[in-house]
Amino acid sequence: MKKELTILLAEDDEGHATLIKRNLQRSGLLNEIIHFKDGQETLDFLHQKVVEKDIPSLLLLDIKMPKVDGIEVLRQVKADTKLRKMPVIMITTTDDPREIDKCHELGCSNYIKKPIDYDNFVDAIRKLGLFLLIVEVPDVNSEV
Amino acid sequence: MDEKDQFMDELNHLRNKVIDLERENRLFKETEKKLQAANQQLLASELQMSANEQELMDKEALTRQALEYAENIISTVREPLIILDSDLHVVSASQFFYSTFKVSSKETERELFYNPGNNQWDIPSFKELLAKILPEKTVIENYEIEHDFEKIGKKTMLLNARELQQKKDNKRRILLSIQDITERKQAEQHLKHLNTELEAKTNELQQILYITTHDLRSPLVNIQGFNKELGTSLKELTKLFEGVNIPAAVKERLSLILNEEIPEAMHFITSSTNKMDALLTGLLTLSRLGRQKTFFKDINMHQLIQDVIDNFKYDINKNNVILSVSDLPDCKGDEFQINQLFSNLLSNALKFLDPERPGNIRISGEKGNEYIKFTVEDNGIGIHPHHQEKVFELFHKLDPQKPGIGLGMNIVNQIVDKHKGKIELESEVNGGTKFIIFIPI
Repeated sequence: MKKELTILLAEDDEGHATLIKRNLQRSGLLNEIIHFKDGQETLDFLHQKVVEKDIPSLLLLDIKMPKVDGIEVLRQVKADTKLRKMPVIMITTTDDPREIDKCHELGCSNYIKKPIDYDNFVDAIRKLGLFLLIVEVPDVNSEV
Repeated sequence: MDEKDQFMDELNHLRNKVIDLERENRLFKETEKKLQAANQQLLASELQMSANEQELMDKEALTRQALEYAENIISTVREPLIILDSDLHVVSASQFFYSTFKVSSKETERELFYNPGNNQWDIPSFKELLAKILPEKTVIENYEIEHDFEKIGKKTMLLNARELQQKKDNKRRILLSIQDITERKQAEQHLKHLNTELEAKTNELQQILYITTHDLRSPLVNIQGFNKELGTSLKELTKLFEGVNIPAAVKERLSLILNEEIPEAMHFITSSTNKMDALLTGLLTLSRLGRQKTFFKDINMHQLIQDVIDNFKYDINKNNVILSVSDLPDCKGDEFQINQLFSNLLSNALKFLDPERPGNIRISGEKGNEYIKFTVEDNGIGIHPHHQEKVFELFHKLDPQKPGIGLGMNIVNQIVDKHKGKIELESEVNGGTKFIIFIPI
């Protein structure tokens, strides 16, 4: 993954955000991680980036957030022709199959459950970090 | 004529007269006899007549009795009854008709049925029913009329009508019973309303349960997560201290803190959060079960039980449990729920095996007339009769030392309920436990 690529993290729980950031960095991912505390902040930033024609590389998205929830953010991202190609990975406490189905239907790239069993969580986040290190994230800013 | 002749003549004359008299006397006697006979006949007729009269009186009394009986029945029936002729004029009406509709017999009898009480029965749909349907059909059953009656207000009435068969004359008579079902209707409506409300409340409760359990999980991620972070820091700290020169007394204390006290505290944080998480997961499962719509289909039980067993393969192999499955009939149910039901039963059977003897679990099925019967039987530690009732209670744990949160059997019970089936439990301490599930065909 190229160094200049940015990762967005939309997560209203400061603790969760810290844990995710720490573990992504521990897995070797040194990219900039921009943290948003609610869906509205995330959308505002994304719209700004669309104007600047600088679409972020990846969005890590929690579902339950104040103002605008993650599902709505996902829906808007996937409905926007400019943002559609940006991969979105859901990171959430919900393991409700209907909610997971809904995210997949809307077009999320992956779905990671925050397990209470922290080792699994760390494992999932580290794998994600490794995945991001190895896999070339598509150049979302290229014209269709 | 000499005197002798004259005397003879006289004698003859007298003799004749005697003969005449005797004849008359005979005649008289005969007549008297006849008269006597006639008199007797008359007496007999009179007796007959009085007997006939008695019979007539008896019959009349019987008729009166029958009429009284019928009238008593009619006046006891709390439904207003009314008898109409073929022109829909009122022949008679029961007391309850008058009291219910607040009309008198005077203004009702011989009147057109619609008229009494200021034309309060002048209801187009009802008129049409009587005028059109009644001539063709002899029966009206449970016809509902909602109408604002002038004297008694808005009511819902249930009408039933029968044609009365009259043998003597060919006149049609229609017996019409009118039942005021306004209150019943209102009660039904009320019940329906309450049911809707209850459903909404249940949904709301389940939603609350779902959201709460979900929200409660979030802080747990942090507690557990940062506890692990502390663990990582602790390891690093311990390592850092290794290379530092520290006085022996401090080192001893430091070692106690770093190697025992902090790890012990962290251990309790971990085990408590795990326990909390298990509770929340259970509650989530429960709330999901409540929110889920049951989806019935034919289930291949052999396949389903095989899937269930596959999930427990590790435990089964680890503990050398002998598991036997006999021929299982297919059944109708929600596949996901039936899977959960048998998973919970098998999990329990495995959990409560006696470590002192080889575990033996038997799953069998049998098709009955109304139910398919499934049995899950183990040779485990068994359940004491005192505890058997509590098995299905929410969060009831028979053995606090065993893993789990006391939810499995409650879920089993709920699933059986959702399938309108039943579950029975037979158990003997140190002998084993047998759960018998009946799923309706």
